[in-house]
Amino acid sequence: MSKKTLTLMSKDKQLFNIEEHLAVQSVTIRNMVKEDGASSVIPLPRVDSETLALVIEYLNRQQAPEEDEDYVKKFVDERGEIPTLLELAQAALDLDIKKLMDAACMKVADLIKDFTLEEVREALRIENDRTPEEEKAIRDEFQWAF
Amino acid sequence: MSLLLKRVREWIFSGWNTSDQTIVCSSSTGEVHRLPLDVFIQILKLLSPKDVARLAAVCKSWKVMASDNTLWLYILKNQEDWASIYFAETKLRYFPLRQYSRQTLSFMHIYGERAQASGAIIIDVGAGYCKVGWSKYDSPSLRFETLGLGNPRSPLTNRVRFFCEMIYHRMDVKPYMQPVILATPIGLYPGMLLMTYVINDFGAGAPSTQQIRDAVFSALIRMRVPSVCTVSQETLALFASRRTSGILVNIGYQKTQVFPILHGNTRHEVVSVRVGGSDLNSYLWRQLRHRNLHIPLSRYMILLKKNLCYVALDYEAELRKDTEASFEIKPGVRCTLKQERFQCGEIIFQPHVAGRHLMGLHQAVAHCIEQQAKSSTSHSWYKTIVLAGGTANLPGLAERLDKELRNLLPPNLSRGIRVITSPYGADAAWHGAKMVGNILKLLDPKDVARLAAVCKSWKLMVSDNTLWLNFLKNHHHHEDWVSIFFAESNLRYFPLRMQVEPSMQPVILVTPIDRYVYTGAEAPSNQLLRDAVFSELISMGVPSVCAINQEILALFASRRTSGILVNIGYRKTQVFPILHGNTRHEVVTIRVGGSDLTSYLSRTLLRQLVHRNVRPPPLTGVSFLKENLCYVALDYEAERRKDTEASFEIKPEGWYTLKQERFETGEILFKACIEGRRHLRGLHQAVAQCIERQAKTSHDHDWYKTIVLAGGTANLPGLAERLDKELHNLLPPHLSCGIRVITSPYGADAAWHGAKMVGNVSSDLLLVFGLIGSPLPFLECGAQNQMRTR
Repeated sequence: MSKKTLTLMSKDKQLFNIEEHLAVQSVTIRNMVKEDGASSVIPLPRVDSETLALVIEYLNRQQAPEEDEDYVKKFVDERGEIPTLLELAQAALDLDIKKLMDAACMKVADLIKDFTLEEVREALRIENDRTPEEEKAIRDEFQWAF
Repeated sequence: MSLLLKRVREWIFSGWNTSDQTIVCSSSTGEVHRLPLDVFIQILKLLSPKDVARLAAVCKSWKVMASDNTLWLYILKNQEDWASIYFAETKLRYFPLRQYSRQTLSFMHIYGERAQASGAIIIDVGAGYCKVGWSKYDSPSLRFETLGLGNPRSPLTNRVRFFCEMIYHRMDVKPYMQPVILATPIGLYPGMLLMTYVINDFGAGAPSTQQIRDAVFSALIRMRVPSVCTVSQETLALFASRRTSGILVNIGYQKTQVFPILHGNTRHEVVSVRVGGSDLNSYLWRQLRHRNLHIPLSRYMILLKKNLCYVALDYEAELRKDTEASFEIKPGVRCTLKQERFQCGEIIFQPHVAGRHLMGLHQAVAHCIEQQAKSSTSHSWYKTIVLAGGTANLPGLAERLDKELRNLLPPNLSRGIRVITSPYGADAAWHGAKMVGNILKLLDPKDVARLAAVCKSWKLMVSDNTLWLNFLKNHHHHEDWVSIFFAESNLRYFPLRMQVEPSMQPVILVTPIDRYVYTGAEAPSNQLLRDAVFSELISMGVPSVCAINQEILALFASRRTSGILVNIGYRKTQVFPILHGNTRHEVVTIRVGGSDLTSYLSRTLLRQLVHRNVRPPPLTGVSFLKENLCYVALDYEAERRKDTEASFEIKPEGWYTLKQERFETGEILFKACIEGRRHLRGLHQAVAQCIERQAKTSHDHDWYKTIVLAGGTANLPGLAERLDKELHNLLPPHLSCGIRVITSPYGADAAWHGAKMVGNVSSDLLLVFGLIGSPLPFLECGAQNQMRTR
């Protein structure tokens, strides 16, 4: 039995090949395959090529089901950068790969948890748009959290 | 069809860039970072609530996201019984003033306020069982039989005290400082204590509810519980089933009561039937004994009742059925019941089954509904009937009551009737208290005051003095609540001598203790001095002046109004017998004071240091040495044989070492001859003399046995113990027994702290309230007549 291969296209028009039985872990792709056979290239206009490469790497994993949990954890642990993880989570959300999505979100949550506000802003490249007075007001409002 | 799907898919994959589904945060470089919304919410759900709230401070758009109601709804639902929270927040928090409106309900703030609430200890005293626990727990953590608490013949207050202490002991918490509370950010003291009480359940001759409540209050306050709050059990039980109006049927241990409750107020027409859970137990027990089954009454009956008994919908029809069933009450012992299974519950409806000629539950409820229908203008609240109490859980009870009520009542009343079993059974009141305990303390004091104006039973709860002490405590952190309590109970109506002008900012003048000494020709009399100060102050436009003697204030500071105050002043030591805040005439004075101690120490040092060519310390340095190294020996002779060398650094002079001077300095107070003044009495002799005189002239024989040491030198370690020992040696046994020597906690500032209490309590000086603690122009005429401004 010859294995069918699908082609995915990233935002910057790069093509990636993946075997169909692996690709259908993504619910979105599975639905598309079911619907019209998906002989042509599948475009993913919101996923850039680095992230898609990661997703393909994840989908290509060869793991026994009982070790799968550990593998997913290790997979996201190796990509400890918050922006990368967010991209990955977004891609997993679009492609509807629940395990990857949950793991990536969990990892981000774990990282953010111990950050100070300044570290959060730095990690996500966010500018503080409050004046010191406003900052103090909001700290007073949520005093119980600090 | 497939074309349509394809189009939808294409829209999903490409179209979102145009619609604004990402949060936009502009960075400092102008670069726009896009954070996917769905991913963000997913991440927030994985974080702890505190972290989410913290992240709200990152930037403005994050606050919008982080305070999203659906997110917090998700968090709250994971935490506790959501329906109870929702009811408590919407119905009880602003009850009955404000109707909640959906727009203002922020779940984030609800969470925050709940996180801050310190919780309360709830004691629910039922007739049969007592339920105790933390309001943050899921269920009561302690449950024990109410009967047999303490010796019934001992006084009520003792029993209550014993009871409260036992609760604290068994819950393993300290009454005044609980670990849960220390963890809260604003350092609240433990929450109020909700004490539900049994109405009319003590029979004739028993103490009234008011008396019991007073006894419980005073016992708890003596245990330093910061605040106590009482709510009646039936209201709480109704709250537990998330209603504020309705007819509550409480099937208690000894009797069943039907309470009509409208908007949280119990109306007067309470119907009571003397049939309760214990009657069911004993009926079951008797039936089993007829069949030669001897089973201990208590625990096993309850087990049997819980597992086998039910209420028949149609009693006559049920009698003809085969209803045999069995239950293993302990390993190896099976118990089989036949018609007893439903006959037992039938007692509630037909008490004559158990030989009691009383009205049945359905008649009592119907009677109550008819009365309410006559007197009430609002016509649907009494159609909800809530069953609470341990026996209310009997299967079929609600259905049977529903059926009987429909038979009894005319159609216009029976239409729309609903009978509900409270989800918590016997613990209903406890769970209602839990709801109140978790929110009430969070109310703003002003809100609470307004609540009192609206509703009768809430006024009882809300105008509770101790609840307000709690507010005082929270809003004025510098106030020590024990002092407040002392001031409120002992000083408010104390005969204060006041001279009040139309007031703006009053002044409390502490008159010098020296007034008994300024009798020499050149010194002004105390009266003259006071008049001069008064006229000076009044000409300065001070609105009111109040003069109280220093020694009385110093005694107040240690929270007493009677006792013997020993003031070790700068130049002399005075012993004041003070009864009910009045100094009696027999004041004993010794001309030894703090300055003598200091000068003795500096002279000794000088003599030693001259030999060694070391510069002696300045006079302030000597005071430091006195504060840090000196003490009073318990046994002077024995102490001389010990090695007591110790040193202390005075900057910048250097280290100084003292040997026996450490305790010889303090010894001057007891043996003035050390300092070379042979003719003077010691402190112990002066106090003993004072006590002997008071014992002769006073009718009351205990007050003079409390001796309070005040003044800067009173802080010398060991002074109180030594004085205690000397007094026991000097006085005859009937006077020395029960003597207590206490060091005032405020030392030299004792009078100031006493004045602070008076200033905060006196109704004419109310304006001072906010000023104490902030720099209040406060005049103290010290022992040296130095004017000091604090």
